[in-house]
Amino acid sequence: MSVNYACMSSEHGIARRRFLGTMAAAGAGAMTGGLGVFTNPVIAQQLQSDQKRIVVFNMHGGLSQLESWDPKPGTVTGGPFRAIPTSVPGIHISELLPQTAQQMHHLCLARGVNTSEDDHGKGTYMMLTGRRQSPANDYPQIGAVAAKALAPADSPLPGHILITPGGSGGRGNESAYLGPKYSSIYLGNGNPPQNTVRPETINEASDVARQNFRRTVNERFLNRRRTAVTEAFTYSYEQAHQLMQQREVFDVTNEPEADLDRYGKHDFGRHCLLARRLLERGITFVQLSHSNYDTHNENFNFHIEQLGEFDQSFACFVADIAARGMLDSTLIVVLSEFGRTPNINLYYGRDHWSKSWSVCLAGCRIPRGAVYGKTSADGTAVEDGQIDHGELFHTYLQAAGVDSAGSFNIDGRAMPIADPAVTAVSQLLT
Amino acid sequence: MKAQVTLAWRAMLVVAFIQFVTGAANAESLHSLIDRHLKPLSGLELQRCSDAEFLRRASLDLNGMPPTADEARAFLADTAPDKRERLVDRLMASPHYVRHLATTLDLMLMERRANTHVTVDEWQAWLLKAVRENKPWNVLAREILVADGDDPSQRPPARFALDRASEPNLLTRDIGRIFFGRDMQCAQCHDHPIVEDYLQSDYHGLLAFVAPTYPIVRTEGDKQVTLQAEKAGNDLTFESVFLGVKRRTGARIPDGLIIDEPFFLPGEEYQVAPADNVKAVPKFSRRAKLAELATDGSNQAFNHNIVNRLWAHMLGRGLVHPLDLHHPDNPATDPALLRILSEHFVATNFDIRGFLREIALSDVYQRPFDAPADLLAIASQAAAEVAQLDERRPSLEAAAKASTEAYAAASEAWNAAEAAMLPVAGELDTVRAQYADAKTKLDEATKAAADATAQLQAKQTVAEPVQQAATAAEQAVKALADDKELAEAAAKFVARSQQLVAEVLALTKAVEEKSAAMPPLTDAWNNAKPPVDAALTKVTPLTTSFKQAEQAMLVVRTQAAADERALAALDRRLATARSVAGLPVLDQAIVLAKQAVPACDAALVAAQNELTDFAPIVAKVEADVLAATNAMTVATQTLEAARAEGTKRSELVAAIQAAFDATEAARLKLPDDAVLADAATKLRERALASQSEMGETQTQIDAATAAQDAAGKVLAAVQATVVATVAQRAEREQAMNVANQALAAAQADVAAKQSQYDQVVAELTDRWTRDFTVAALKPLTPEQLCWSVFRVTGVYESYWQVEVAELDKTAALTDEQKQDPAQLAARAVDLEQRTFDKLKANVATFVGLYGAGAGQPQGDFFSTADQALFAANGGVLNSWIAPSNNNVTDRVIKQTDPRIAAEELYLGVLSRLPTEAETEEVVTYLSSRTADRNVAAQELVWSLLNLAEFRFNH
Repeated sequence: MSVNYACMSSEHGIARRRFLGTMAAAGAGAMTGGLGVFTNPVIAQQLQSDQKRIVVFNMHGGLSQLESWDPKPGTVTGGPFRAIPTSVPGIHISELLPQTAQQMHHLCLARGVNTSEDDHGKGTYMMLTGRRQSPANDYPQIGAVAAKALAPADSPLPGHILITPGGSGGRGNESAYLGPKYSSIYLGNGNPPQNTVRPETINEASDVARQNFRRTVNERFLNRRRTAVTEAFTYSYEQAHQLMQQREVFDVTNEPEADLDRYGKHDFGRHCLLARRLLERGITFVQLSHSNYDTHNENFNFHIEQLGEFDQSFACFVADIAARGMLDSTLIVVLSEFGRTPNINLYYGRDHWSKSWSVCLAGCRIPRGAVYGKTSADGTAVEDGQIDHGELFHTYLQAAGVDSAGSFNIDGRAMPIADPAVTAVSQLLT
Repeated sequence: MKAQVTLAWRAMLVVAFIQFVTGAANAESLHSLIDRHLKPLSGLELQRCSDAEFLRRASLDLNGMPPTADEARAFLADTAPDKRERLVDRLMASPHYVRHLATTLDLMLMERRANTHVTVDEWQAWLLKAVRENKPWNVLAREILVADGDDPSQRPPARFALDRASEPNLLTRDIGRIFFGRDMQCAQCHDHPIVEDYLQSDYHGLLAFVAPTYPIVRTEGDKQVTLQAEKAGNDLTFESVFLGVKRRTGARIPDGLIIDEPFFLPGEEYQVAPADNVKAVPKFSRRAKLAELATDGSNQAFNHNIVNRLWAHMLGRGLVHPLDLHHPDNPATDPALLRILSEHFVATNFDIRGFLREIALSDVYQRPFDAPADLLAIASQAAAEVAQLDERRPSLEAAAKASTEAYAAASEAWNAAEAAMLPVAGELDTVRAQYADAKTKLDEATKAAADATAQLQAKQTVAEPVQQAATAAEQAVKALADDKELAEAAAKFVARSQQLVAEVLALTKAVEEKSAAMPPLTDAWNNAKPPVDAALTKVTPLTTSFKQAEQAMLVVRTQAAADERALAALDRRLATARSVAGLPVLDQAIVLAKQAVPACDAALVAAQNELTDFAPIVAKVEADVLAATNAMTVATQTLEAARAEGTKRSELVAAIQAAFDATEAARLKLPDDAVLADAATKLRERALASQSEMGETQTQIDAATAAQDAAGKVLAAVQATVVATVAQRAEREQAMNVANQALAAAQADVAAKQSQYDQVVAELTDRWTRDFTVAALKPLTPEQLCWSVFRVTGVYESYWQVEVAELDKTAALTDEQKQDPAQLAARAVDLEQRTFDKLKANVATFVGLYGAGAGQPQGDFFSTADQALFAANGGVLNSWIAPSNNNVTDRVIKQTDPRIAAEELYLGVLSRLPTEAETEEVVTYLSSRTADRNVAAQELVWSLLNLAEFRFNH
């Protein structure tokens, strides 16, 4: 890992701080044993069949479309890797994704993505909110929108989960005007949410006693005045209690060892397995990221390394979701802030490129084993099926059954769920 | 400086005018005016909230934290009638008032945006100073609106714009929301789709004030300092994305007119012209104009906004709510009161402290949070109010309709005037641009000529001495013809001189050319001026009539808005009164429904009796059936036994006959055998006897058959009775079911009617929260929550004492100083700041959990599981609760009398005494935990800290 691939943007700084945070917190994340339920398709059936879920894989830094979904072997821009056939005749992807290729019949590639934004922060913002950043308005990210539109209102489990590569847990800030209720709960390096374990200084009997006393006295006050806010406040304690009881939902160590082997014994493999576990248990939205693809130097070596990890875990994940009968109700999105330049620079790197790149989708109403959009022979331009961040955002939501042309009513103000200037792409919906 | 004097003078005039106008009203205190305007519904007798509730409420609203247990005890024991007023004054004199108000203003102005250009400390210090000195709101707002960040003393107020990156649309949105109470964001691209009153031109009118402002970065030593520079402003043109109609506006404040601006020719607009790293200063600053117009006391939107926000600070919601949606369809609870409040506020020179004090003293502020009981008793009074309001309504409705129509007509005239002006204004833009272009070209040419002349002069300065030197050298060569070296040197001088001469010639030519280029450009510039004058002359009358139309429109728009507000406010009151007046009908329905219940009950009892009464009959029939069945069984068995006997006997007869036949056959062969003869005789006798017996048996069988028949008939008869009886019983059961259902339906009807009633009462409670009849439950802000936890757990007090000790050591007050109130106040300020600094890091934890995101409105309440998890399992809260330093936990543990322990607990955490039931509860709790009283006390404190009663200010 001596390759210096990253540009000097602030995003890397943040990722690094989170990483250092993990190092500092290492050893503190003691996990308690759960029930160790072996997951199987029955669980999937138990989930309400109409409850849709979304999982987003954020390929942090900007995945090269040429080394993944849209290879151009044998051209001046194509790089050294071959394209290989997939489980769908006629569709080829990069040889760096051999296991994913075998899952192609579940997947759909949008190869005509053009977002015209080459800045890390702005690109990420656009891909996750479906809008261009505007100084006067802040927009909620896909996870917050999904949590508000799709998550059952009475569920004790959070509707919006972010599995971060490092750092401790906490609440994110991605919900803009939807309010903190829909902000993510983040699981630092896949550890369960903060404060879900009773401190050692308080024994169970004592906790039960104080909670009971609280309930009794609280009820007396509520008898004088009961409002929506007092109900929400009171309910949050019951929710917390249930969350503690269901803590094992977040405990990936309860998954079979064999699965961990299949997914790969690295953080990303563990995170993917955790994502599967969370989705099986009814969590509405999970976002995980794989870092870092910002390969200004040594693009090819680095993609071999990174995609090696990604391919194994992602292919297992897709295969498992499909085998559990969850693909019809689970939308899978693999996105980045942008793609990488067809032009190979002096350092065998590729730079930021947003004019013609790819996003991979699967599940819900997304067609299976399909490709939408086409780039030119050298990959420098979209020739057919051009799509941008706003249309993709609509498409994700429509695929998951959300009327993306509708609005949220926020304190009497109608806020359009997605950018009203564009719509979903019908070719990407069945 | 001159501008400031003018401004101050103007503000004084406005204030004087308003004082004149409202002079009569000023005789009455503002708090009594408030109470007169927010009268509860006729007949509703409202008590004031309890002393303990008032104490906690006022402490949280004015000091940001509840009282200490000692303060609470003292206040409750105080019997003076003016103790609430004295409390308000004491709270407002505290350094905590300054801290809490500064925090409130910070949240309102910056909404938790990151400190980028002004540090937290600088910003807070500025706000604290402003609150401490009770800086008038208009001055504070003016400083914020004009500050460009250049003057170090005015750097903090520049934060409002600098930490919004001086972005014009963001500033327009937030100035609109925070200073004028109008969120016009949706009107950026078209007239507001929901709020009819927010026009796209309102948005762009406000935008035009801030659009010329832009940030520049100046290097000061090793620091980069961002400042705001300002360009000269232009009209803004815009177009609705829906309608595609082109519009144009100058700078216009909400509720105001497009400002008059001096006309400057291009190039003459600046005191300091824009250039790299130069803070441009226009001769006419739109931002300064905005600050002046907003804050001189004459702008209603500005005045209404601030009193509404201060009102909301105390009452939990605005008279207009949400706070940034002032418009006719969302009127104030009492529009007249809002006007009075804002006039008073202006007349008292925007005195925040005095205004809050008046609110705190009003009855409205001191109302309890319980929903009023016994509403039926006031229904008839409410009905009377409905009648009154109904009577008033038509005239208000007619007025609103008329003024709305007038507004529509004036709008049309205004649009027409604008349409007439647009092309001519466009012409002026064009010729102005041409003039600017001509001026730029001339300026460039002038500069080029000047540069060339300067180069020529510089060259000439060198050329002359070189030429002289060359001439001198040539003469010297003539004199010393053989000196080769001298000749070479002279040749060099000559060559250089010739070269310079050529260069001078070339430059001379360039100067000539460049000078020659100037007259046509000067002509072009001169020629560009008359068209500007002409266009200006042409557009001026059109602009004037546009402005007149605008003014006419503004007048009727204001009137229409006022009329609509009045009507909507009346309708709100009417709906409340109607709800109450309608309660007896709903109540009567409950009574009626309840009346149906006893009859159903009786019917059910009767049906049950019928069923019960029928039971013996059923039992008898059942017994008969059993008896008949048994008799039948016996008869059948008898018959079967007789039949068996018959069969046996007939077999015997047959056997004897067979034996006789055989004997007879033998006797015929041995006729004289006496034995045989004897046997035959005996056998015949026996056969005859058997046959006779056979006859008896048959008789028995016949009798048994007859008996069985008889039994069968009896059974059949009894069974027929059973069928009838079962049918009868089923009928009675059915009757009971029906009666049961009828009762259930009657009871359900009662429940439904009751729920209808309850729902109306619940709606009324909501209405009463909105119109301030009952006190709202106000969630504590993250800051309030943090400081409240510190206060009641004793953490605050113990840190404070550490600072007291520290200051006593390092800067002890002399005995004389201790008698000086100013010295003591200064010491309190110092202690507050020191304690705050020690503890402030914890505030961030609470903000992270309980606060909304940066740049988002901070007033919305939300409750999440992670907050409750933090409270239950987070290390800090549990550690603050642990007994120490005579804090509430410690006092509960040490108190031997459990009843007094209960008092300590409730006074300490909830600032009130426990009820008898609550005392008993605590006594029981503690008495069962003698072995681990320490733990039990912490449990109790934790429980009380996690109550809705603690989480909300009520």
